[in-house]
Amino acid sequence: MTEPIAAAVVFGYLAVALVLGVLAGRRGGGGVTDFVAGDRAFGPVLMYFVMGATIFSAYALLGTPQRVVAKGSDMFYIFAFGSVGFVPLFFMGAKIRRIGARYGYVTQAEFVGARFESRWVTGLMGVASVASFIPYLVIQMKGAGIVLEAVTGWSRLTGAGCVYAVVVSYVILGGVRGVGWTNVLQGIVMLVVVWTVGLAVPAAYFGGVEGLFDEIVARHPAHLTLPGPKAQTSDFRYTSEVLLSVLGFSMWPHVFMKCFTARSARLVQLSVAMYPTFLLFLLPLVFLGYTAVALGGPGDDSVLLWIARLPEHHPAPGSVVQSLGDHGLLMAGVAFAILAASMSTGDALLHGAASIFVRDVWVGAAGPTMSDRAQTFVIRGFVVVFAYLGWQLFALAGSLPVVELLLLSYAIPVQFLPLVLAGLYWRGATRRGAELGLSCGLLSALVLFSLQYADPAFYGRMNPAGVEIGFLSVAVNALVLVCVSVWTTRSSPDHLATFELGAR
Amino acid sequence: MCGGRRLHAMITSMGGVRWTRLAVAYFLVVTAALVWPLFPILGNHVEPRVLGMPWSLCYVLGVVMMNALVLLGLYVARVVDSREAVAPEALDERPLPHEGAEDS
Repeated sequence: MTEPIAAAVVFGYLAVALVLGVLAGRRGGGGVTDFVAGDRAFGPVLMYFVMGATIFSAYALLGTPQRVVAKGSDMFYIFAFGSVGFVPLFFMGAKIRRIGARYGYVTQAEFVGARFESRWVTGLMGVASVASFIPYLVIQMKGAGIVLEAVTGWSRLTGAGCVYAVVVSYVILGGVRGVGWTNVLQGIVMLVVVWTVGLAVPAAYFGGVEGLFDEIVARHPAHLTLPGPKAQTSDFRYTSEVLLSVLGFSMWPHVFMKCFTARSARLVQLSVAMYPTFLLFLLPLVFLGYTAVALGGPGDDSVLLWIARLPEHHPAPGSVVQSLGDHGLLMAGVAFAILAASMSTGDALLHGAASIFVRDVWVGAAGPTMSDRAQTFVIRGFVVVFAYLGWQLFALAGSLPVVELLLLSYAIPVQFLPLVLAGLYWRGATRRGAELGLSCGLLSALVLFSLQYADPAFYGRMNPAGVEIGFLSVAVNALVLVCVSVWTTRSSPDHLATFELGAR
Repeated sequence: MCGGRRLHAMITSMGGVRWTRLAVAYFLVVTAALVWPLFPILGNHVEPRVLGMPWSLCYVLGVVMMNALVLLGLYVARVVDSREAVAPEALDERPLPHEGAEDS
């Protein structure tokens, strides 16, 4: 063990998460609605942490300080899109929760497919959702692997396998309740550790946040405004990143489906209203990123671990940080937080991918009749399958373009926005419109992504302004949906009434 | 919640649908303030510094907090669709969304 105290904390935490997840799963009714949507009984504390911790992944924890070092204030785009990205769910979340409870929907694709009376929409959304989850899951495994490598000296693959064996166990045995209760623990850990370290480190080396920024203003001013160091982020690029993220943020299927877990429609709105308090936890990570800039830290995803070892290479005698570092507690805290972030997102992705695959693709689109109990059993099986698939992809990560695939992942959820909006608020949106719109949107994203990867020069000539692939493909999607809907037959008034779309 | 009820009563008397539209308009304006061309003019500066932090960071944090307050206000005032689930048979008796259902 290279860091024995940190390793003890990490393994102790894994044991607690496992017990908590399994115990939480013993409380529900045991059916598929319980496994996928917690019998729609999550209260405010669970909803707050499920929404917050699910979104803040290992990528956010490792990537935020890294992005500050590499691109400076470009990182603030996360605050920008986060401040409004969830707002659409405030307006439509109550309606989604009401209709879901009334007719038994537990996934996003099930809900949208039912509105358009289309198995094709359900199946395609299901397949696209699972495809978008896999690279994201690999990134979470990478976070877990990095932590275990740092504290035990094991290979990243072995470390990720060990952590995700625990995650798979509590997801299988605990369902969404297991995910929810472990997210409470993980959310609290992240908030406490990140705020403590994020304030203590600038205090130890610069006398506080003001001193830190005095140093940055004097020596690295380009990191404080756009276009950032080496002029990497143009106004257009920044605008494009913010707007695409705003449009797609609330459409991530594993987040959207948490609307169905809430105890009431009002609670969905309260969770959205409270979410910005969770967003503020990125602020100490910004301080740590600027500390790395000022002290010459690395520009890759090891920044946070470099910070955890700061007292070894930049002693700060008499400070809290030095004392924590000397006792191995700084590394323990940071490792704990990264692991919490990785697991709180990874569990939701595994649970979401398996639930969506079985409910939307297998049962929803292919159509075999399957009992409640059988569905729960099969979903549990697919939790293992997707975890193994993610782990195998992680093993191949050196030869696979995971980061590029992650960019494609981001282009997928935004494709669901035109269908959700049109489905909820436009009586004229038709089945054919939704089917063709979604198909064309996803196909455009795939073609543009392949082109960008296979022939960057040609793609650059085709898209000289560098407009995000998600934008281009969602525009195609919305245009086709509207045009085809205008020319095709809409659903019956009775069907529309079930989605609260009364006659005009 | 007494203050919330008073706020709700006041807003209902002014028309809940109108307030929903105003809320949507507010969030559109705020989104515009976070991107080009408004962000470079309003937010992309180091000075003035607030609590030692550069203005570019304070600006986005200010928007985060302002939006949180607005969302909490909308939640307390119940001006955006906040009805709970009803049985399917009761559906036809509910006011339709475009007829002021947002008033709850």
